[in-house]
This record gives sequence, structure tokens and C-alpha cells, in this order.
Amino acid sequence: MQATETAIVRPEWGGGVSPFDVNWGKFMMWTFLASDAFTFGAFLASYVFARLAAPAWPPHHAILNLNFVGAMTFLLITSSATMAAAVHAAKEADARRTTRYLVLTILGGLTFLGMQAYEWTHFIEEGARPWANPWGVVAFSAFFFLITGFHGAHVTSGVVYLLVVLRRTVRDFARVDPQQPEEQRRHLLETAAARVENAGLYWHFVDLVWVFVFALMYVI
Amino acid sequence: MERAVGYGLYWRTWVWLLIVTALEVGVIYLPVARGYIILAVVFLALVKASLIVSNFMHLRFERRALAYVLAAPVAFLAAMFLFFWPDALRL
Amino acid sequence: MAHPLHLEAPERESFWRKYVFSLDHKVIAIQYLFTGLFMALVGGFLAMAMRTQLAWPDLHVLRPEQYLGFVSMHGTIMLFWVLTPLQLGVFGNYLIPLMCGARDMAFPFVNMLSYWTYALSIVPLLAAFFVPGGPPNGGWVQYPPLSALRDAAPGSLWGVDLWLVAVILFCISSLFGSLNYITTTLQMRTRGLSMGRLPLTIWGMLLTATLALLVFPVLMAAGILLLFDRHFGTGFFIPAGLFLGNRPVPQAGGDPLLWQHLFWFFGHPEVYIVILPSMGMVSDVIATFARKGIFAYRGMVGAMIAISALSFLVYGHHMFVSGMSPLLGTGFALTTLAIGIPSAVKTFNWVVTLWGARIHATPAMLFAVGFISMFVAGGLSGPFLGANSVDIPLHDTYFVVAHFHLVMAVASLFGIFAAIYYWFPKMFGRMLDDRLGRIHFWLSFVGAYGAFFPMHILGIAGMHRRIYSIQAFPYLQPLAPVNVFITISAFLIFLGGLVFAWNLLRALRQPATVEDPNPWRACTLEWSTRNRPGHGNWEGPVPAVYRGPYEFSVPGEERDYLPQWLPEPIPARGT
Repeated sequence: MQATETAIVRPEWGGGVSPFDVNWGKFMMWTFLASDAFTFGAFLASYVFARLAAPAWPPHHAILNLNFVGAMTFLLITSSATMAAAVHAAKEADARRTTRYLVLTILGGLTFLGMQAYEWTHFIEEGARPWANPWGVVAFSAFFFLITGFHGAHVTSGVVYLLVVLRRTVRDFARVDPQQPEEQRRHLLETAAARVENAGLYWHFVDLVWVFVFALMYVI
Repeated sequence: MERAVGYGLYWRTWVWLLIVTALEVGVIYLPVARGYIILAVVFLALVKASLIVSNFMHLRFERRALAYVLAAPVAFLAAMFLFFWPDALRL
Repeated sequence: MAHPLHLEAPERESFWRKYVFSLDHKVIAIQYLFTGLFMALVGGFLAMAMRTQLAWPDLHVLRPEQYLGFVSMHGTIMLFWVLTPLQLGVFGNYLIPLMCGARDMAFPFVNMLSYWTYALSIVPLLAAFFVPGGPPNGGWVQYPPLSALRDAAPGSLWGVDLWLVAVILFCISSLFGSLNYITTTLQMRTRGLSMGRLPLTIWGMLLTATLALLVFPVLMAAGILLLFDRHFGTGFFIPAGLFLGNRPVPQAGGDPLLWQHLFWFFGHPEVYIVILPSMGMVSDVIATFARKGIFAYRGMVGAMIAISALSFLVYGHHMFVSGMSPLLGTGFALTTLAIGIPSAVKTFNWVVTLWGARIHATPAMLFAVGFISMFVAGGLSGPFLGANSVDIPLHDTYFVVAHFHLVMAVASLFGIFAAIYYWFPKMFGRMLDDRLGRIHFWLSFVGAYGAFFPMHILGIAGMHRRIYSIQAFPYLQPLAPVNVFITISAFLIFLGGLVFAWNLLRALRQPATVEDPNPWRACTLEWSTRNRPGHGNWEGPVPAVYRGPYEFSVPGEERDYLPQWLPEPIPARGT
């Protein structure tokens, strides 16, 4: 794609009004998230189905350490807040803060993943498997591994995505030069900000999903 | 689009999210019927979700049209949950 | 994030870049067209084999498990790999940028990925024929526990795995496509093309893409759960106390009903995914060849939106006999019957558009009118199946087969053929032969009614839809001649398809001589550029739009059509 970058024509919104007043990338991210919400929705709805249909449910508060999971939730919410701050900083063309908050977000995501790995290890050591567990209801551990695993996969890809965005943002901010023509500089900054914003939408969505995973699988 | 959105908004949202999370965890120890607890937790989860969507994801600051368009999938998702549970309970 | 519009000089593009890994939405559409037609041939061949078996069971063309494998693969191929891509993949891709006045899709690279994921998904699908046990036996719905247990049926050994992998790949391809179709339609329309001026084709594509965007993930999730059940020993869909032969099944604790909920939450919108684009395209064809504006444009759009929204709320009518909660069943029956209202609105509007028109009976128009005919004929049996009390005796009989083949399969196939005949000059710069087109139409039309109408009778007489041989049951013996009649009619449809293939190949072997960019004198924007447009779609600037899409025979005008790109005031207004 690099070679053709010179031949790119700027998107022409010829006239009229874009119904949502957002750029294409952002609109596509929203559309994708709507779609992904249905994947998670289907998993969670299946989980609720199994939970309601089960005659009994294991004492999950005793099995899963709610305080530990609370700490994981705290981390994810915090990383979401730093991500929002990074988006804001990028919009203000504040390179230093953008980088700082992006790094903080990535660290938050990595720590979350580490804690999840620890939680899984603990859970597996207690005898939980997708196909069996000591507490009788197989669906409990099966859905646990499936849903937290699928969410963890999203966090992982989110971290990779953010690393790519971080690298490109640092590069773009380094390219900004006061001697450039105003329009070129603004375009560079806008592109960088849009990229961070789209990554932010994805990252907040992962947090959003966790809200429901936390409520439905751990708390209730 | 850029109304007065500052870092302050995000920190406030962050604090609220943590408070609601604490409430969620606290609510399960209340000595009331399980049905009420479930309702309360689901309600609090929806509060958190709307905080994230409106403030972190900036939906508050977009055109209304985008929010309306996104409301449709949310409604269909809710329909999915509603259709599933009567069968799970063998109603 | 891919940014659009790589307007390189075409001669700089290598063969691979231009024809294989092309980013041009028109090339991708044509790739979809030929792949989809190939799959249609495969699916049609399976149908012919099944019909032969049913008409002449003594020939033993198929073994029972093979027959069931063919049933599954015919349904799967036709729905996922033929009807969906032949509409969204071909005409969504080709027409959305051209009719919206965009130079390409919003994300050309994602668009290319969509096609190649689709092409890749065919490999595991067709591989299912060649593995031990053959293709899955559970029908296109793959109900567990038959599909969840590897020893439950020959096709469950390997076939279901390949089926699931293929379907999950297809879901991903559909996601890539939908993202593009929606973003392009909403964000890239040319100056003056407000939503109220969009051709109905684009409305159909937009709503279809939205449905596909939201329901394919549910199928994907269900597929992942089923893969877990098959390979990781989970029991999401496997009930307790199940025996296979004399052995108890180790997994337990799940519910097969959950699969049905997930599947049909996807499955019902899916049938609208295959009919809504046809509804749109047929509207365009009818308006052009009736030389009249579509009656009640806003009503048509509203009906399509209502159908799309309701499609999420009716899926339970597929599960009336599954042991689903009767409370839920009644609710679903009500929403199902409600969907008849927007469908009737659309039908009446088409008929009123045709009323008193000077109809040009080209093959495209014949297929469009055939679409209405099939949609009505099949739609009328809908209320029978939508009302739960009537559905229970008719469920899983040939009555259902008759219903969905007429209203969905044949109708949308007719819509696709109408679209191919109509847009062929734009796509290839050639005309399909008129006489062969008529032969194709009449073979298909007579064949479709001959094949599917008598199936209602078979269904009421109690013939089960997945039965392998009617000889097994004495009460079905008198139906043998009806089955022979149906099979001969089905051969006519297939013959029609071969005539079409001949017509297509013949046209493509001729040089591209059609220079007239607007041979049908239509109003929509794709006719404003030259045939076989290059990458970028318009050589000059993108035309602006000044009027609605169907301004035919406007009173007081000399010419009988006013294209959308014709500026106001109209120069030819005369005195």
C-alpha cells in the first residue's frame, strides 16, 4: 500500500451532508463494533440460557476470587480512561501526552492479560476444564473459558492494534514540521488523531464487553 | 464536534465507573431476594455501559443520527436475550 | 486503515493486480459472479441428483446417507454460496459505487479480502464430499445432537467440521463485504444524492448489508460453540441422558434448543438477506421497462425497512415443533403474520407500477415479473406456516419446501437473472441474446411452477421433506407420479440454466460492441458512464444528481425519461 500512497485521492464528499458527520474509518469502526457486539451477545445470551436452564449453579463466588476480578476490572476501566485521554491529547496534537497515555493504556492491557492468565491458571489448578469441573455443572467452566477467552483474545488483538497505532503516531508526530505548509501539517495531525480515535473506539468496546462479562459471569 | 471536552470529563467518568463497579460488588451482599439483586446488577451494568459509550466513545458528542442508528442493533440484541430466556426456564 | 481510490494508470497494473487481486469493485463483482454461478451449477447438480432419486427410487442413484448429504449441501451451497453472494457480492459490489456516484468502495482492500475469503471458504465446503463419511447429514440447519456427535451420522465424522470451517470463513467474508457496502452507501454518495433519491436497489443492498452485518456473527458464535462441542468435549448443545447406540454420551448439560435459537436468529434474517436485494433490483428493472416511476417510492422504502426490522423478531416460527415455549410461539406467530403487511405493500406497488404501462417485455422484465409471480405464489403459503396451529401438521413436510423455494429461492434467483440481463451491457459491453433469454425464462418459469407447486400437495399428503425414498411408506405410494412430474419440471429449470450458461458464454465470446452507455434509457447514475467503466468509474468528474431515480414519462416532457444526472432546469423543456 505504501507505493500507491502518492496516488491516493482525498475522499471527496462532493456535496450534501454526510449523515453522521464522521470520517469513513470511524464509521466503519462503529459498524464493525455493532457486528462484534452480536458475536459477544450470542455468546452471552447462550451463557444466560445455560445458566437459567441449569438446575443448580456452582458457588462461583467461592470459586472465582471476586476481589481479584474486581482489580482486573479496575485495570481495564483505568486503561479505558487513559485511552480516552490519549484520544483527547491526539486531537489537541499533544505528542508527548498522546504517547504517554497510549503507553499507559498498553501497559494496562498487558497487566490485565497477565492477571487473566493467572486467574486461568488458578482455575485450571482447581480442576476446571472446558469439558469437566469438580463442581458438577460443565457449562460453568465451559462458558467461563469460552467467553473470557474470547474477550482475552480481543484484549490481545487490542494491544497489538495499539502498539501499531503507537508506532505510527510517534512517526507521524515526528514528521510534523513547522516549516510545512499549513494544510499538509493539519492533514498529518488529523490523520494521526483519527487513527488514535478509531483504536480508542475498539479499546472502549473491549471494556464495554467486560462490563457485561463481569456483571453476568462474576457478580450475578 | 469539539465541544468543551477536557481530561476532566474522562477522570470524572473513570471515578463514576469505579463507584458503580463497587456498588455492583456490594449489592450482592444485600439481604434481599435474588431476583432484585440480579435486576440491580444488570441495571448497574447498563449504567456503566452507557457511561462508556457516551463519554469514552464520544457518542454524546456525535450527531444524534449515529446514536439512533446504533440504538437499533442494541434493541435487537435485547430482543435476542428476551427470546432466549423463556425457553431456558421452560415457561 | 486503507484509504480509498488508487487511481493508477491501468496499464501499470500487472495481470495479477488487475484481474486476480484487484481492488476495483467492478472486477471483484465479476469474480463473485463467476464463482457464484459455478456454485449454482454445483448446487443445481445436487438438486437434480436428489430429484432423480425421488422420482425413480429403483435406480438407486444415491445411497440414503449420500442423499442426506446432498440435501445438506444443496441447501448450504444455494443459500450461502449462491444466493447471498450473487446479490450482495455481485450487484452490491458492482452497483453501490456506480449508483451512488463513488469512485470505488470505501475500503477497496477489505473488499478484495471479502472476495478471497469467500473463494477460500469454498475449499473446505467442497472438500466435505471427499472425506470419510462424506458431507454432513443434518440439512443446512445442522441441528445438534446429530451434528455435535461425531458418531451420530456418517457425515458428522468429518463433514460437519468442514462445513463449520467453511461457514465461519463465509461469515468473515460477509462481515468484510457488509462493512464496505454500508460505509460506501452512507458516506460516499455524490452531490445531490440524498437518501430519498437512492435507487431502490441501493436501499435493498444497504438494508441487506445491515442484516448480514448483525446476524452472521451470531451464526459464527453458534458455529464456534458447535466446534467446541465436537472437539473440546463441552456439552453446549448436548442434553443429559443421551445414548448413541448402547453407549451413553459422555457430554451432558446442554440444550439442542439453544442451537436452534442461535441458528434461526441468524437464519430468518438470512432469508431476507437473499430476497431484499432482489426486491430492490426488480424495482429498478420494472420501472425502466414499464417506463413508469415506481409507485409509492417512500412506501417501498418503508416496507423494506419494516421487513428488515421485523426479520429479527420472527425467527421462532421455524421452531414451532421444537418444544419451544408455547408462549413464545404465539408471539412469534403474531410478528410473522405482521410481516405479510410490508410484503403485500411491496407487491401491490409493483403491480400498480405495471398497471397501464407500456411494458417492454425484455428478458430482464420477464424475469422481474416472474419474480413478483413467484413471490406472491410462495408468499401466500406463508401465513399457513406462520400460524403455529397450522404449522404443526405441515412442519417439515414438502409444503415447507414448496413455500421457501417459491418465495425465497426461485424468486431471488429470478431477481438475480433479471439483474444479470439488465446490467449485462454495463458490465461487459455486450448484450445477452434476446431469444435465448426468452427460452431461458419460459423454461425456468414453467419448470419452477411445475416443480414447486405440486409440492404443496405432497406436503399436505404427509411427505416428509428429507425423505430418501417414498417406497418406505405405503401411504406415499400413490404420490409416485407427482414426484415424477416434479422431477421432470426440475429438469426444465436446470435446462433453462444451461441455456443461460450458453447465452452467457456466447455473448462473452463476441467482441464488446455495445457503445451506448444507456441502452435501456434508464435514469439511475450507473448509466451515465461508459460501458465497462475503468478504475475510477467516471472519466471526468463524478456527475451530480438533480432528481429522483425513477422520473419516467414525466407529464409535459418531450423525452420519456429524465436521468438523475440531468441538470435543472431541463434544456429540452421547450415552450
